[in-house]
Amino acid sequence: MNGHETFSEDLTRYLLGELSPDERRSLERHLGSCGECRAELEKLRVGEALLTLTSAEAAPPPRARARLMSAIAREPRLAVVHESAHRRGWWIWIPTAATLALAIAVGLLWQENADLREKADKLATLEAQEQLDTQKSKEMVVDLTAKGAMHMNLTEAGMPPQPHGKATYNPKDGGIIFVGTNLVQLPEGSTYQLWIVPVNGGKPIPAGTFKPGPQGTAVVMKHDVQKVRPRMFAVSVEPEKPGQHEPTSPMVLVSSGE
Amino acid sequence: MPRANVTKMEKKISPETRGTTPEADLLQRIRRGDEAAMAELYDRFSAVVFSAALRVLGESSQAEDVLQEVFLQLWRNPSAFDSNRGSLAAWLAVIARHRAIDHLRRRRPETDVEDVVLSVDPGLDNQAARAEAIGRIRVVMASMPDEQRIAVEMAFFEGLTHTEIAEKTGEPLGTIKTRIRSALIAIRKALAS
Repeated sequence: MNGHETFSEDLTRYLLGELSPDERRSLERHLGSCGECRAELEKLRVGEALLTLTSAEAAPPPRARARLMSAIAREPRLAVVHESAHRRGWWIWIPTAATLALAIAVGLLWQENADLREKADKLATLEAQEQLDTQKSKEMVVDLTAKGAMHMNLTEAGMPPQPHGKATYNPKDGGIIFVGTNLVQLPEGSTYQLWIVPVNGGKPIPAGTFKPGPQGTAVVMKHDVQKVRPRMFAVSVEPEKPGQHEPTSPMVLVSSGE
Repeated sequence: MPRANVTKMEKKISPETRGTTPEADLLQRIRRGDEAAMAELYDRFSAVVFSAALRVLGESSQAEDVLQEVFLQLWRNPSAFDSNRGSLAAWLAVIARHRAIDHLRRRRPETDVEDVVLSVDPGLDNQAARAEAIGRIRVVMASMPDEQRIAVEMAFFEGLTHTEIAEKTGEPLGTIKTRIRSALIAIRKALAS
């Protein structure tokens, strides 16, 4: 039995959350390069959803509605503020290797915050909070992009530096920034290709090609990438030719976050 | 609801139709903190969520907890559902089943709601269309061999893993995988033709 057949057989176990973290990562890596398995997974997801809908519709007791409405009445503003807070936490903890990406992402978030303020103009308290966030974001951008700012990578002592990439993607407008470090130089005629693997199991989306500089560093910034909900980001080595729409080789870098 | 609306279950939604469904409008209002919109959404879909949870848990008060959890999550993060594609009813049902199985296994939630993306026809958000589709799926289920139907029930509504099902039924693991996979494909096919 080859690798593809093994992965294909495990798609329902993947759907049901039965795979170990290692098995799941391997399968997701395979999904990144196997259109057949992605299509199969999509069919299985639809089958799962339709199966779940067949549960005989039983109305919940009336008290459940009152309980829910009472709960949401206690936290209407918290809901919006929580979303904003979540975004702040997201960029604060990005490691320094992605400082450039972070600075631009902060700018994107700043724009999002501005949109949010407009929608929530009736909520004076929230608006004040958003203005504060915006000011903080501005200050952060200034800090991160200052001429004398230092950006350093830290690796385990005694270990050779490993190829590393950091992708920041905004699925709302298709903007992506990728920063690669310690990348291996490629032979003539080859290029690195960045991919976004969508969460729905669809084909990987090409998100830019790049070649590292003499120090093994590369930066990709694009604002017109297809808008998808990403499951993972990956990089492969591809022949240097236009119109590369599917990976033709195994991924050399994959994101580890879920 | 015309039959045409339920014959193609994997329809992709065109940009022209985005944001125009009643569900998309409700979610938009919920994003603005509109509690009345949340109440309306609850009235439309609470039975779908409650039923999926009840089928797994078999006990009303626990199913109520899942119901509460699912709708509160939607209130806190309405953007988790991508209203540009797919059926909200199907999405809620799948989330409810996942959460119910988490309760059953007494484990932390294993699936982030944002990871559940389904290309199921949004026509199923209409109750009449959904009822018709469910009828057709039940016919497919009834035509399956007992052992296949039981394996599906164990996997999706009793929270057993493939390995546990194989041990319980005495069948090889490969057989269980094949039965469950082919059942899902048959169900999908029943509504895609």
